[in-house]
Amino acid sequence: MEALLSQPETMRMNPPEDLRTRLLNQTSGWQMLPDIAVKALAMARDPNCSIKEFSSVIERDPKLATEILRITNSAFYAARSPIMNLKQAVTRLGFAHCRNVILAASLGSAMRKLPLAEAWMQLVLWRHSVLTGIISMSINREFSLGFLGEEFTAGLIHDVGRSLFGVIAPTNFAAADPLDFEESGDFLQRERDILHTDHCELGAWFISHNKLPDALVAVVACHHVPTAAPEEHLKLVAATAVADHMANYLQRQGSADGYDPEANVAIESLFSDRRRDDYYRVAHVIMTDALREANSPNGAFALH
Amino acid sequence: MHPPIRVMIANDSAVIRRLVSEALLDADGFEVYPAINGSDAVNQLQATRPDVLVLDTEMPVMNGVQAIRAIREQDTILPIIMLCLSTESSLLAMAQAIPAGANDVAKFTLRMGHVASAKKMLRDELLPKIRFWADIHLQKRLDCPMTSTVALSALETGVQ
Repeated sequence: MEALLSQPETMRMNPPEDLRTRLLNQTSGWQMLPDIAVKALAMARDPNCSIKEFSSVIERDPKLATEILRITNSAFYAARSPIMNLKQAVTRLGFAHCRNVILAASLGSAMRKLPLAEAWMQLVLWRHSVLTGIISMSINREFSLGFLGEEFTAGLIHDVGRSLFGVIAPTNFAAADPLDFEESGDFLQRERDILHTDHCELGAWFISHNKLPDALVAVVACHHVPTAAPEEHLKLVAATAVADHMANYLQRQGSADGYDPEANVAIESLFSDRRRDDYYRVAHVIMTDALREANSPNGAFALH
Repeated sequence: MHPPIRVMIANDSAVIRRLVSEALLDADGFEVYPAINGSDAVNQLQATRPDVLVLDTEMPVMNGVQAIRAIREQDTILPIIMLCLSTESSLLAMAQAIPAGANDVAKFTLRMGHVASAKKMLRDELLPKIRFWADIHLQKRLDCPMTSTVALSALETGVQ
């Protein structure tokens, strides 16, 4: 049983004052995304934004534009013919997937500027986030959950609290979280013992403070306890928790071999009994495909 | 005193290039030359003249196996070690590496752990192989019999 039962059934958002202050002080110059990416992400959420306007903003960052073209032409997005320019890319992907691509491209490049210990930690966590995001997308597609790209973003951001711990308290973080992706029952309690809060609470407070959507706050706060999520966000939180469990196994084992989908208790918050059987049948295929995509050097989410 | 071992690291991940470089530089006795993919490594060989080339399996533009084949057309003695991530496609490339002309393979994973454990993994798995093959290479270049204790002890412990 993973850490799903070890947290109180409430959405906690109140990390200690000193950690909050440290976080705000240390992250004031720690801008995860370049300005152009932030603007493009905001535009992609605007229903009145045109493809022309959107493309013209991205074009101002040649590296981002190049990366979007590379990702759009990857096998993951199944381009039948080469996509040569940004307008084609945006038309093909749609705004929702453009947000995913921008996030993937921007967060990946942000890691290169960090000191090695931090960059390595972020690389390992980033790999986990990408795997969780890809698995979430596959579950959404396979079971027609109705998400429009937010499931990938949720996967990408669900463990932001761990990244933040690594920034504000690297030594204690290494003691609390060996990055072994075991996440046994005492995983969150160990964080609370050493850091006086856990990554769910710290991350949720931080992204709420930065005015990200409530659905993402719920994902970050409750991905270990989906039942604590507000009803309107339960499906997204549960889908992320299911994907997180699968991604953890892939991180530990390097393949889907031996994975027991019935051990994934978060599935109870996502599916009825009948659909659970369907999930048990396809879980291995989803995991294997996700791993192949995450590992491919020319894949949509390759790390360079 | 031995001259430093000149190691070229070809890897498309900037973080992994930095990690391998630091693991070598921490150990003393190495000079490191980065390359961002197989093609970049091939292009830099004449100018940098490394004693050992450490190649990633999967890189854009030119992957590890393609680079080994390209290098072996012009250089048959440069020791090449393929650094293999434990992924499905990487394991396939590992099987192709030796037949393509690599001297050795070293396994590596980026799935888990902090930077200290990643460096330890490289120190345990990669460094002895680099030393072993560099020693052989230097001896070949000096055109004298191989008498190095490093090479002998590596052979005894089955590094090769």
